[in-house]
Amino acid sequence: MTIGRDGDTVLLEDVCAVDDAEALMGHLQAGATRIDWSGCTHLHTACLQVMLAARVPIRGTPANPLLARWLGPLLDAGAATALPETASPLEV
Amino acid sequence: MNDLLAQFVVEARELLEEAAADLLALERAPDDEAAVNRVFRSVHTLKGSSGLFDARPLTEVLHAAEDIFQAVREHTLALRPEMVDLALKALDQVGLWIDQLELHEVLAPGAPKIAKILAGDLRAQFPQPNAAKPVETGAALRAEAAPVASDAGRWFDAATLRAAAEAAEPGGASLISYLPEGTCFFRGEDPLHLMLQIPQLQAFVIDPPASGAPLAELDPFNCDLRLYALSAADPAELEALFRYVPEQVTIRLLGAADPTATPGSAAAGAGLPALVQALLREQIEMLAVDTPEEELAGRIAAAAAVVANALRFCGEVEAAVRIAAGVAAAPEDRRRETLRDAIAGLVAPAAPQADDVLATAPGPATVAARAAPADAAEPAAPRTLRVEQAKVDALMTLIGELVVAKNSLPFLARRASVQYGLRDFGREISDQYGTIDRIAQELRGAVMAVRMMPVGQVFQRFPRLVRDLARKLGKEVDLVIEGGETQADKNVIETLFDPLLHMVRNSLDHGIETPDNRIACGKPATATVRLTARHEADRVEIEVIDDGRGIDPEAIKRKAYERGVIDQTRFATISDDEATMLVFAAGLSTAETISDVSGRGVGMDVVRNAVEKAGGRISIRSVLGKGTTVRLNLPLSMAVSRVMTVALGERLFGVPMDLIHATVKVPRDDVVSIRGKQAFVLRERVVPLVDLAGLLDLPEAAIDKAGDADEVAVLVVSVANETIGLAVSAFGEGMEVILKPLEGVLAGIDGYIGTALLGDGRVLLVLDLKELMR
Repeated sequence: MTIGRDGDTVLLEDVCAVDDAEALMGHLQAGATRIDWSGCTHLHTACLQVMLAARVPIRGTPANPLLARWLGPLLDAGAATALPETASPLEV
Repeated sequence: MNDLLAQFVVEARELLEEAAADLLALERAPDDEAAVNRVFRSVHTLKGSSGLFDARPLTEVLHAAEDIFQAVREHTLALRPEMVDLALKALDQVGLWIDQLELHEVLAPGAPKIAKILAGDLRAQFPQPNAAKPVETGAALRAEAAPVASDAGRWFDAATLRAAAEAAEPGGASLISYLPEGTCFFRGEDPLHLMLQIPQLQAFVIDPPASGAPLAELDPFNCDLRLYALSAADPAELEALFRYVPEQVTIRLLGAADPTATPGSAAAGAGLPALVQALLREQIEMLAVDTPEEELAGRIAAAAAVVANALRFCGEVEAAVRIAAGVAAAPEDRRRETLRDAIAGLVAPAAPQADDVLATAPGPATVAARAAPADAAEPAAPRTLRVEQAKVDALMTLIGELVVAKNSLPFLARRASVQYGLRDFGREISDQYGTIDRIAQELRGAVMAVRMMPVGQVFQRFPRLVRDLARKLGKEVDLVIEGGETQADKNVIETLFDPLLHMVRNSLDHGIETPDNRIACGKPATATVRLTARHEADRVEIEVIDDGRGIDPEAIKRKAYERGVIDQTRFATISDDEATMLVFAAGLSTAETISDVSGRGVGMDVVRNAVEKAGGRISIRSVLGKGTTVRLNLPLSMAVSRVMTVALGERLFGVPMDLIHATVKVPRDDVVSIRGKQAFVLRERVVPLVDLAGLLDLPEAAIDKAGDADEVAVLVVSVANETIGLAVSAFGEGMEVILKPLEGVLAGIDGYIGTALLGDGRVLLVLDLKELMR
């Protein structure tokens, strides 16, 4: 299992493949309000799409430096703009 | 004309010239990607700035041309010769419109129609959509992606683009646009993974169009993301990475001008082109001016319209709409403030946009500042200052006066020592004079250097001309230009174009054979015409050399005789070289037929007159069957002339130094009379002797003693290829003078080239010997 759950946090571990997108989405719809991707080494586009759409705060730094460098800022920005009620469409 | 338009006109002409030159380069080497990029950039820049003015047809044509070269540089369209033709035609038309803008600030009424036809012709170069085969859906998708890809500024701010371009030196950064198909996940594709593999990734963004939709409505397996990245890597490397998904990915090499020319809509204003920013600032200033109540509404509306137009043209449609709506919605008495604040919000704050703020100052130096950091491959434009010629001329006149004033010091020194007996004081003045003289000389040299221009400025107009002519005449011609960097005075350069044009036309029309003819003569089918320039002492020498059929001296001789240009004796004795020179005689054209290219028998004598007027000489050398060389020899500068002064009694006259052959003193006994005319023998040649005083109708009394001396001072000059001796009273000194043409009521007087001031305040009349000999 690469998608875990710890309270209201979804945990992304190791390789998050295309199939995991559905599970990730399920958790987020079932009350999870945070994502921790510290253990993530590969994130499939489909999972990223879910994360972008959910716009929840992201925690941790993924093990894969490429993910941390290029996606970190995007997801942080997405989460930040998501906080106010009147959030404008995601601008990255 | 407003400054902005004036600047645009100047810039537009430069860009058009560059684009035309690059197009010609492309015609020779269609694979020259650098040239494609340059053409695109020129056209793109021109289009961008043209949007600020009331010249929609012009913008429309440029836009169509821009699209073509964009497609060419993205390899979605192959460059064909007829496209180059069309583009040149379009640029010519744009050039005409620029002239109209300069004269009237509006385009002629027929412009929209012409624009429509031209733009239509240009767009017809794209393959018709319905002609595309089903197999080519990939290409179609790619074409669809192109407009998105072209807009690098939408995804990355100027600073990022600049940084990427810097990292990519010298090749330029690439924009990678990955627009995955919705079903791509099912084919096992992982766009994110691929994007993160990009070598030398510089920046990366994701555009989720569905981000506004609630999570519940998301289909996690339908890819709805668009990914954009900047990379400094070689495009070939990038293409290899995306080789399995070519139809979803566009890789585009970004040009140097792109970062500022296609500003981001996210950071509106920050990336606005400098020209637009300047325009916006101008509007703020205009709004700040106190305006009578009844004019205020009109002024606000005008400013709003200008701003909206400017924004639309740099792709800021949203901002344009917002401003228009904002102003309309504001209460009437608040409109001015609303508009002013809105504009102020658009104009970038000075600090983070140092480059752009610099760039708002007009001038080519700023172009360099903008282009240099983005594209190191492009040589930085020289830092130059545009100055009106009148200002330099005024400086030159002042220096002329300084030289004259300075020349009075030696007179003063002489008076001090002779008249007042102050020898030491006189010597001191002489010393001071030496210093002032040196500085004046250097000053003059410096200003003359300002007026110096490379001959290339004239030469560069010829590649296009030769190409068009050659095509019209069905001939194949290579134009080789050498020594374009040779410098000469601006006036000299400017007098050069017409003579050169005549000569090159003559070469192409009469000299160069048709390809068939050339092959029959054992020559390569493609003829070569060379334009060369070089310095020869203090003169500049320009040659037009062709390897055509040459001039047949026999034919010239015959024709000249038939036309009555030479008489029978001359016909019998004339040498081949002299016969060749006859092409410069008036009323002689050797072409069998008169074409519209050249040849009504006015060409070459016009050339000769123009060149001689500029103080130049012209000569021609030709070998039948091998080719012809026409050589122009011009002074480096027309501002300063060397003259020799001669005395006729008490009066001084100047004679242009370049006409003077020799100065001799002839014993009166050696002067012989031949049928009432005087002559003497110089170096075993009989030289006619003319009394200069008689030539000038000076009263006999003024020429004292000339008849009594046992020697005659004779100035031997060569005028119109004839050697003549002029009898004068005495020789004066040679000097450099600044010639002033005769003006006002004196302007009509023949026989004088102009006047110059002497050091003692006297005016020297400089003789026009050619005119006098007639």
